[in-house]
This record gives sequence, C-alpha cells and structure tokens, in this order.
Amino acid sequence: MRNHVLFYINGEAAHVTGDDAFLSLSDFLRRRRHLTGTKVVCAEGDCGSCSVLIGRPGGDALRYVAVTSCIQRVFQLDGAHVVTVEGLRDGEQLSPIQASMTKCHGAQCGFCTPGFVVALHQMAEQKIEPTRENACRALVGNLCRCTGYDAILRAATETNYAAVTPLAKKYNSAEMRSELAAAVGEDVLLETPTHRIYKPATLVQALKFRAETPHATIVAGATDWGVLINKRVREITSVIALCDVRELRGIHVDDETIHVGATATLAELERVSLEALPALGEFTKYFGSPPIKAAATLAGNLATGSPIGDSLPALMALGATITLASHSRPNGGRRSAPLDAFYTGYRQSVMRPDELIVSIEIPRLRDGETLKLYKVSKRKDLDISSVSAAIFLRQDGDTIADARIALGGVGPTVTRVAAAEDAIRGGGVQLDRFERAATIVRSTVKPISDVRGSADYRRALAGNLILKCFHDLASPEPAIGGVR
Amino acid sequence: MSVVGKDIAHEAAATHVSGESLFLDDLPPLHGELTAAIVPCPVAHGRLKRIDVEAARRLPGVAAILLAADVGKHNLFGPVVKDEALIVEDEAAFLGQPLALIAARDAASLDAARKAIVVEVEPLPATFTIDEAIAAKQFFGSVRQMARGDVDAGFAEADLTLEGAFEIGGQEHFYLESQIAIAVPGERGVMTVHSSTQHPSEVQAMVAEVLDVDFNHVTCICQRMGGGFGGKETQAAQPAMYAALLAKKTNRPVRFAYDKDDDMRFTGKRHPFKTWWRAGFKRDGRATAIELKLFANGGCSTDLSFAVLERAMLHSDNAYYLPNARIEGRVCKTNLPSNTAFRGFGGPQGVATIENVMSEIALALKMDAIEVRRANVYGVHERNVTHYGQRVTLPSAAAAPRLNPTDEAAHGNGHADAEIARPSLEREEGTNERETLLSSAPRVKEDGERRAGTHQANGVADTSLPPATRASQADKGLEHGNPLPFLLDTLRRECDYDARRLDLEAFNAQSKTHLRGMALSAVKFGISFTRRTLNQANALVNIYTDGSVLVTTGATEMGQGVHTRIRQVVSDALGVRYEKVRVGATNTDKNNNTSPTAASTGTDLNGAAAQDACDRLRGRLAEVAATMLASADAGLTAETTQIAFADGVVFDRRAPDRAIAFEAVVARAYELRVSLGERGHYATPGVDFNRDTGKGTPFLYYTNGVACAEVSVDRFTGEMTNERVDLIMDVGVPLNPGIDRGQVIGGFIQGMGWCTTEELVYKPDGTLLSHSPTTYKIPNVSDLPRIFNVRFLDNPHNTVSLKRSKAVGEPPLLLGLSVWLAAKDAVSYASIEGARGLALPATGERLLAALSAKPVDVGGVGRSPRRVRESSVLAGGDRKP
Repeated sequence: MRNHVLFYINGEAAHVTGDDAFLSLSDFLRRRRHLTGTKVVCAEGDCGSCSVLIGRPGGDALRYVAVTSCIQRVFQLDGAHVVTVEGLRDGEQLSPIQASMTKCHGAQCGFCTPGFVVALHQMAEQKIEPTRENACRALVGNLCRCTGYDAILRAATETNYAAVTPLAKKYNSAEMRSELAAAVGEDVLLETPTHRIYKPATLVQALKFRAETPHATIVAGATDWGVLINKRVREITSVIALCDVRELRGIHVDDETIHVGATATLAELERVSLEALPALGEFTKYFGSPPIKAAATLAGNLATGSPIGDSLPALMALGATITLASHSRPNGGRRSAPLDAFYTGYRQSVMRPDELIVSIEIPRLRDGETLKLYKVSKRKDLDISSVSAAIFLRQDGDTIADARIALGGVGPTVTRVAAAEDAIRGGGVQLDRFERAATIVRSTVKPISDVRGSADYRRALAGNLILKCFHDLASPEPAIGGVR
Repeated sequence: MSVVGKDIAHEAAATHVSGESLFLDDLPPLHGELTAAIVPCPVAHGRLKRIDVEAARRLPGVAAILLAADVGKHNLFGPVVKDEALIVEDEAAFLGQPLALIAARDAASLDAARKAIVVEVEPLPATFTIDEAIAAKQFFGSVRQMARGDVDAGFAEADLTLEGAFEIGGQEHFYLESQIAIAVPGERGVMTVHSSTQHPSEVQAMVAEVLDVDFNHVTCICQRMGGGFGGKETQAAQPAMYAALLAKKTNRPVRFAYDKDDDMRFTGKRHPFKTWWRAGFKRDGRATAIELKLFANGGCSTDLSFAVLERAMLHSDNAYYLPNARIEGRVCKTNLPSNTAFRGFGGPQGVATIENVMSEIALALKMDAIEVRRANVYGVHERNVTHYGQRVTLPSAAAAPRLNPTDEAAHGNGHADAEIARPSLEREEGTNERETLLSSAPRVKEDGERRAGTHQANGVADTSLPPATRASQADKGLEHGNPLPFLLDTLRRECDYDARRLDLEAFNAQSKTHLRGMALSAVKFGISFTRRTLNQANALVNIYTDGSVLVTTGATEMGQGVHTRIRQVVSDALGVRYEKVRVGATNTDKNNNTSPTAASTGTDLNGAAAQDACDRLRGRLAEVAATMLASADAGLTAETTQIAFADGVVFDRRAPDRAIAFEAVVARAYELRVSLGERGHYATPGVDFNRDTGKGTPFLYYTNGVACAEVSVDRFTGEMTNERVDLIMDVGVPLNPGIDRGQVIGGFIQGMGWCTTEELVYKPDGTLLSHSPTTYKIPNVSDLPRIFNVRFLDNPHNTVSLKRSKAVGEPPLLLGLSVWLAAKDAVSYASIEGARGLALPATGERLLAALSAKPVDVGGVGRSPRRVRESSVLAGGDRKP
C-alpha cells in the first residue's frame, strides 16, 4: 500500500504526501510549484482558465486530455503526467500554437490565454481537424471576456499543426512511462489527522473499503465534488477514489447494449455513442465542456442524481439500468436497478451504503425506435439545463407502439410522465395526441423557480418540448443555419 | 520604417501564451505576507447591533481584525461623493458590505476567524429595483435635464404618438482576474500598493486618505489587469484600502483577493435602467418629438452614477437627429453594491433606449425599422446638431489650426502653451519626413489615401487627395466628420439587407418551428471624459545611455493594447526600433495625477502625452545630431530642421546616406550634458459641457459604426441563434488594425452578451443568485454569429486625434444591441405585443414569453403583418447580382 501520490509535472516526478495531496491541482501547481501560468478564475470548472493536459498510461504512449485543474485534487493525479502551459513551449521557442495565438491577436488581457493554449494543444494531441467548427467545439470549455473569440478561432484554424511536437515525443521518457504504469496498479492510502483518501486498484478492494466506510465520499472524476469542496459546501473527510479500479474502466458495445464502466468518462461515452447510438452521441456534445467531459463519468452523473443532470432523461427514456455491486453479497454480487426506479427523492436513490455502481447498461435503438433529446439552457454550450426532455418512441408501422417521456428540471428528480406517454401511445404521429401529451405534462410537472428559470417558464417549456418533438418527427426542417 | 498603423502583436502576447505574464496573484508571497478577507454583511439593509471579534482575535494565525472604529475619520469614501462606509458603522447599505476586515497567515485561519466572529444585524426594509426606489422616493441628487426645441409643438406636429416603458438589465463585468491588491508598508508611513486598477492615481489618493497620510506617501503600481471593463475604475480602490489598512495595522505585507463568487456578489455592475419614453413621429418615420425619462439603478452609493447617467442622456440620441427632445434623468438609491463604470458607461443604456424607440416606431408604422433609422439619422450638412448643442460634424475651422502641428512643435523647439498641449498628433509632419525616407529606404506604401500627406480639418476639400477620392468622400460625409448616413446605406447594400429581408419573411411565413429577425443599427459614441478635467494625461519618456527607451504614462493595460500602441507611437516619434522601447508598469511615482484608463481615451490622451515628450526629446537630440552630422566635405552645416530620425538612425535629410546610430547621438548628448528624459503632457482642446444648461461640446469627436444582425428564435423554447452579423466600424486610421479589430469584435460580443444571455438574478432578500460562470452566462465561443463580417471604414479625416486614429474601446459594444433588435424583430412576426414589451436582455425565457404574448400558431399557418413596404424594397433595390 503506497502512502503518497506519485505523478509527473512537465516531465519531472512529484511525490506528494500529507495535506498537499488534498489540495486542488491548480493550487498545488501555483502555490507549491510556482507554475502560475495556470490561472484560477471560477474554481468550478466553468471557465477553463486552469486547464492543464493530463497524460495517463494507455498503450505504448501516454494519452493526453485537457482537464480543469481547479476541480481536480492532487490525489486524483496519481499515475498521471501533468503538462501545464509552461510545459508546452518548444525549448525557448513558442510552440506553433502559441506563436499562432500571438500573431492572430488571440490574447488580450492574457488571463484566459493559458487555458486556450492548453485546449488548442489538446486539439493537436487528438489530431482534430482544425476547421472552425471543430475548433469551436474544442474550445467551448474556455471563456474569454476580451477577444470575442474570433481571433482565437483564427489562431486555431491557422496553426500549422504538423509542426506541433506531440507531447509523447516531447516528454519521451521510458522511465516516466513505466513508473506511471506501475503506479496505476497500486493501492494508495493517504491519511492526515483530518483527511483520508483510499485509491484501490481492484474492485474487490474498493467494495471492501466501501463496506467498511459507508460514509466515505465516492469519487471518480470528482467534477461535482471538487466544486462543492472549493465552494466550501462540503469538507474533505474520507474519500474513496475509484479512478484506477481496473474492472470499472471502459465502454463495451454489443448488438443490443452499450455497457459503460463506472469510471468511463463522458468523453468516452460521446465518442462511443456517436457510433453506437448517434442520437445520444450528438446530444452528449452539449454536456459540460471537453475538459469537464474528460474527467466526469457517466456513473457520477447518475449517482449524484441531480434533476438537471444532463444524461438522466436520455438514459431513463432509453430504459437504461444501473448495475450495482456489494462486498456483502457473494462474489461481489451484483444487482440491476432500472434507472426509472433508481431515484427516490432529490439526490436520493436506492443505492445502498455498501454498494458501488459498476456499470450502466444502455439499450441501443432498434429498428422502428426513435430517441429525441432536448436540453434548454440560457446558453447553448457549457450550461446547465433549465429543462431537459427525452422522448423515446417505438413505432410499429405508423403506430406508436411504445412511448417513454422523461423530463429533467421540472421536479425533485428526473421523472417519467406516464399519462403523457399513454396519450401518445397507440396512435400515429398526430398533433392532437402530442398536444394532449403536452397539456398533461404541463399539468403534471412541479417545477420550482430558480436562477435558471421561473416555474412558469419551465412548465411551458416542458409542454413545448413535446410539441417541438412532434414537429421534428412530422416535418423535420433543415438546420436553421446557412444564411444564403 | 513606421510601426504606427502596423498589425503588431500585443506587446505581452508572447508571455501571455507561454504563461509567463505575471498578474498580481502570480507574485510569490513576500516575507511575512498576510492574506486578508472581509466579514460580509449578511443582509442588504440592516442595523449592526453587535459584532464581537474578541474570540477571533485570539485565534492562532489571526494577525489583525479591524472594525469601523479602527478606521477613524476617513471611513466614508467615494470617488465623487464620500457616501459609502468602507466598514459598516451602524447601518449596512448592501449585502456584502464589510462588517470587519481580517488579516491572517493563511486561508484556513481566515475561515476560522470568520466563523468565530459573532454578528447581529437587525434587518431593515430593503429596496432593490428602480420601481421600488421611485415608490420610496430614494434618489441620489436631483433630476438632470437636457432639452432642445419645442417638444409640445413636436407632438402636435406628429401624425402618431407612442409611449412605453423599457427595462434594461445590468451586467457583470466578469473580468477574469477578480479584484486584488497587495499593500506593502514601508518606513515613516509610506505604503506601496500593487493594485489591479484602471485608476492608480485614485487608488493612491483613496489609500492615502484612509491611512491619513499625504498622497506623496503612497505609491500605486499596476503592471496589468486580467480585464477591467470599467469594473476596476473606482472599485479597485476598496481591496486596496482593505489591504493598506491591514498592512498599516500589522506592519506586514497584506494581500487581498476576492474569489470570483464574492467579487460578483459584492462589487458593482453596469447600471440597470428603466426608461419611460414618448415619441411623436410622421408617417414617414421621422421623429418630431421625443420625451425620455431615464432612471438608473445606482446601488447603495453615488460612485460614478451621475456621470453614467449623464453619458446615457448624452447618448439618448445615438445616431438620430431629435429636433424636439426633452430628456430627464435620475439616479435611484437601492440596497445593491454601488453600480459603477462598465464599458460604454451609460452610453449603451441611452442608445438602447432610442434604438428601442426607433423599432417601436417601425412596429407602429409597419415599416422596416431600417427605414425609420435612415429617416432619422443625423445629416451631413443639416440636421447635424445634437440635443446638447454639439455638431456631429468635425470641429470648425477655427479650432482646427490649433490642433495641427506646427513645424515648431513638431521639432520640439517650442513648448506647449499653458492651456493646450500641441503634440504632433499627425502621422506625417508638415515637412513630410517619412516621404523623404521613402526615397532612401525601400518601404511598402500601404495606403495611398492615408499616406498622402497632411489633410485639412477645416472642412475645405482636401487637395492632397486625388479628385476621384475627393468626390466620393464628399458623398460619404467623411470629411465633414459624419459618416453615419453613408455607413447605414453602405452596410445595407453590402450585407444584402433587402433581399435577405424578403427571404426572412418567406421563411417566417413557412416555418413552424423558428422565426427569424434582422436589424441594422448604428452607434455614434462621443469620445472624451464628460468631466473636462479628466481629459489630460502625462507621460515620462526616459532614454538611457545605451539608446533604449522607457516610457510610462497613466494608461493602464487591461488587455486593450494601450501599451502596445504607445510603444508604437514612441518608436515612431523617436525613430527608434520598436524593440528598443519598453512601456513600464503604470506607477504613480512616475506619473502623477493621472486620469483613469477609461472612456476609451487611454491611447488618445496618453499616446498624445508620450508624443509630446518625444517631440521635445527629439528636438534636443536633433541639435546634437546636427553638429555630429555637419561636414565641410559634404557641404553640410549643422541644421537642426534637416535632422530626421527613423529606424534607429539619425540623418540629415540632405545627405541621408551619412546616417549615424541613434545610440551614438544619445551617447553624445549625455556627454554634452543634454537631458535625456522628458515629461509630456496633453490636454484635450475645446471640450466643455455645462451641466446646468445641458449644453456644450463635451466630445472631441465621435467614433461611429453600424452592424446588421440576423437571428433565429425557436418558437417552442425561445432559444436564439445568432445567424449572421455584418459590421463596419469607423475608427479613423487604426494605430494597430489587429488590436483594433480585437477591440471591435470583443466589444461587440460583450454587448451581445449584455443583450442576450447575461442576466443578473437575485433572491427576494437581495442575494445574487447568478454569482459565478455556472449561473451567469457570458458569451461562449459557440455563440459567435455563424457568419461574422467585420471591416473598418477607410476614414482618414479625423485630424483632431492622435495620428488620425479614433478611440475604439467602448463604441463597438453598443453595436451588440443589433442582436437584441433582431430578436425583437423576430418576435414581432409572432406577436407585435410581445415585441413591444420585450426587455433587455432577451433571454430565452423572455423571448418565449414574448412569443406567447399572443397565441403562437404552432401550426404555422398564421401570418404576421407584412412589414416591408414594397416601395422601400424597391428603393433599396441595390441588390448584389
């Protein structure tokens, strides 16, 4: 059992013990390593200024993704290579991306700039074709208040990416790779008088610790918990970090189902579902932002159980199930809980104190099945929904044989509206049926007024989304863009 | 080679992208440094019954806790009126007002101290909105008025009269770097304050006052800000005062930094406005009478609210001639953090008011709003005087000669007179030194019009321009200083407005799911502080013996590129290579009594002051160089007037091949005991405004622009997509086109945010709910218009400003209104009533409500009234092939 965190920063090893292991990565970089290029603005992952690149072992080289370092705790970096903006230069020269940002006036006040540089380097790492549209998608996690983004997009599209040194080449150390790979397979337990973190390498160990310490906070990407810590809503006490449990990794697709491991990130889900369940994949583009999705897990999104969680309505309408495991049942016995029966109240679920989510099973669409997903928020990207809706239909010829409607943001939990489903079920795609469903939805939901919208607005939206779905099904209009 | 006018990268860009630029919180802690925080008042209005800090004081790690009584007689502060308590004495005026200040060795100790402090505040009735303040008669100052013509007669003359109320929301600055200051105590009462501020001189003054020392004991330094946007004009002072008081008390360095949430909760914002308007107009759309009552939500104290209100009133005409106008304004007192400067400074609210009226007139007349705007736009030769009496055309011939450089001033032998500094603002001097240079050094001649020599500012046709250009420019109204009608017509044609309007109407008739809207609006933004005194600047230019140059001015760098532009100006003025010039941190030790970097004037004022200093340095160096270059062999006598400076060398124009290095001249000057430092000063000539009569010439000139926005709105959700924006900006001759373009686009998008997604939401008790980027939504990269065309107007006629440039910081923000107007236009296709009542910002929630103001026919068979008259379509039928 290792009792320190082992990771690398810009090619140099870092061994961290004690309270420092519980610092946010951004604070650690800024205050302990004086790497002040990483800026902190919001401390909640919503501006991207603190973005850094994280490389983790996978295959023969590290694979790098950008994450927001303000909501990562140092212990989560165990076994990773952190590259900060300071580590992106080519020796004394600016990297081609940095040079392009300079030339194109992509930096004004400079405070958001390191985050954008990191995000652009992630584009290079992932070999994303630098079209304006792709660059836009890659940068939605970064806020800039000065430039209006246009110059940054120009820098993004005008960079000669062929000249950008891949990080695996820039930090080509076999010693670092093997040390990190070994670290990932080790259990880590770190204790201070007030904090305790356990990072198991296997599911058996994880379940055992979970049973022994039922009040320990379970984290994987920790993108929600990290915010709560920063904003002093929660305090760090005892934590179980699942990030390196080998049985929980990855996404597996078969003919019927997408099996999502508990530590699979939303970025992985987006990538896989674009192929296996395109309606969900396209929708996932509008979850959070690339650096959030690179850390956040689907299991975490479901386990926190927020009624405005982005994935919940979609998965509920699809009929997804959650697989839970427990140390107390024989062989780490598993049970399956349908998502639409998972939540019992605001952020409450049927998950027991000794259980962990091990995977999520998402049924793929079959012939005749349609999934329509809607998320209404004040801003299109990097926002939390005011109301979201998922409508699943199975059509038998012209008849809607089955319908599931799941709504978020209109009550304490994401919820199905059975009466509205009944209104649609059994007929064709007819306006009067959808209008009846919309009316039922409006009278059924019990939204509240808050910063993201009034109760009246939410009620109206919930109904309107049913009508919007009708129009999308009945007479899909071409995309609105493309002004002549 | 001249660097002014070149597309040079921001001077800090390389260290911004590498992460090496140092912002205040990037500085490592000084030895013994303490961290500081406030104890925020938990209610918006209340009486402090008890505060017990004794237990907290005894906690380990806590170094000092200050209460109002510890501050003494200077607890009340304010940039204009001292009416806000730095620490609550008995009555708290806003939620978050400090009840105490704490300094401790670390954040954990601060937290512990805050928890240990016992506070009892008795809540009192609080006021948050303009309506509430009006009902309670809570105001600052008296009613302000501006008027012109006979409003009653104007209404009598009108074919139609309309009236309404219009609500305009506030805006959070959302500078990425939150407010921060570090105070370092020195000996004998000296205090050095590092502040992220747009106004170091004010921070210096306020810190000195609260510490009760003379101003000369306090130095304020600002290397750069991570954004300011007006939010750090006056309100950087509070963190500086907190830090300084605690530093004095503990005799240790103290750092005070807000986190983003507290910064958003506790500091002021753009003023929300509510305006009651009444408009009389003819059937052709021409306004005959306009009556406006503007109410600004000032928050808990005066701050800059009077000036903000004044600028709103001065911009309530925007681009439009109001023959008969009566404009009243009042600042409301509420229990919010004091609202403050924000890019545009009241201008956006004034312009929004009148642009809304123009749209309302169009709705009433079932006309395309572009026709109403065109009918009311300021004329070039008539209808060209504002309601406050200033001509929108260029200054008269009487003023112009004083503003043009004389040979004497240009070569530094003369000194500015007491009233008006006369730096050589022109890009080319009368002697046309650069043209001479052309013959000796190959150079790309980039713009014939711009480089063609000195232009006259007195309205006489510019004979140096080719006749064809002259004729076309006369048509544009450019040489008279009012390009507005030309801009409206040009953009209308360039963006294919009329054809797109027809398309849009067809789309709206057929689409069941979306509505499109389009609007073309203008901006005319007055450049100068409306407070005359502030229109001055000083600069210090030091040449070191190695020939390198250090310039400092009062201009603070917040990303807008003022240091880059000043560096360009100084480089040209001394003929030294750009790399040899450094612009130092803004520092009150070097430049005293400076004005805030605000009102878009940073470059105009400070650049001109630097130019003034350089002119005189060059004059002295020319004398030295003349002697060095004199040569009996070449038949050259020492002739100062023939000496030229360019590209790091100095030469006699009569023998340009015999150039000597600038460094050599500097070294020789030093030997000869010639001063190599100079202080320049500039005072904007001719600006003045009488508050009592509401008349005057408050502005040196206007920066103009036009933008056309097209949006689509989802009929089911109210979600808006920005489909296309075309924009033309008149910034004179840009000093740095790349940086100016960044200002234009950045300003536009920031204005668009104010008009669309940026909504301040409060709980009934005054708690701000939208206090972080999770809940307060500034534009994201994906909110950019799908098509975005931005260009500059080629306008070389602004001879009154530095190098014929125009200030660019604020004006483009106001063009963001075109997006709001387009949304209003879109709504009008579903519901005229909904469009009429639309408030700003047009959030999705508001748009959906507006669309539903009349039953929305989601079946799509309904048809809005036809809005474009056939004749207007034909008249504007200048369609592209």
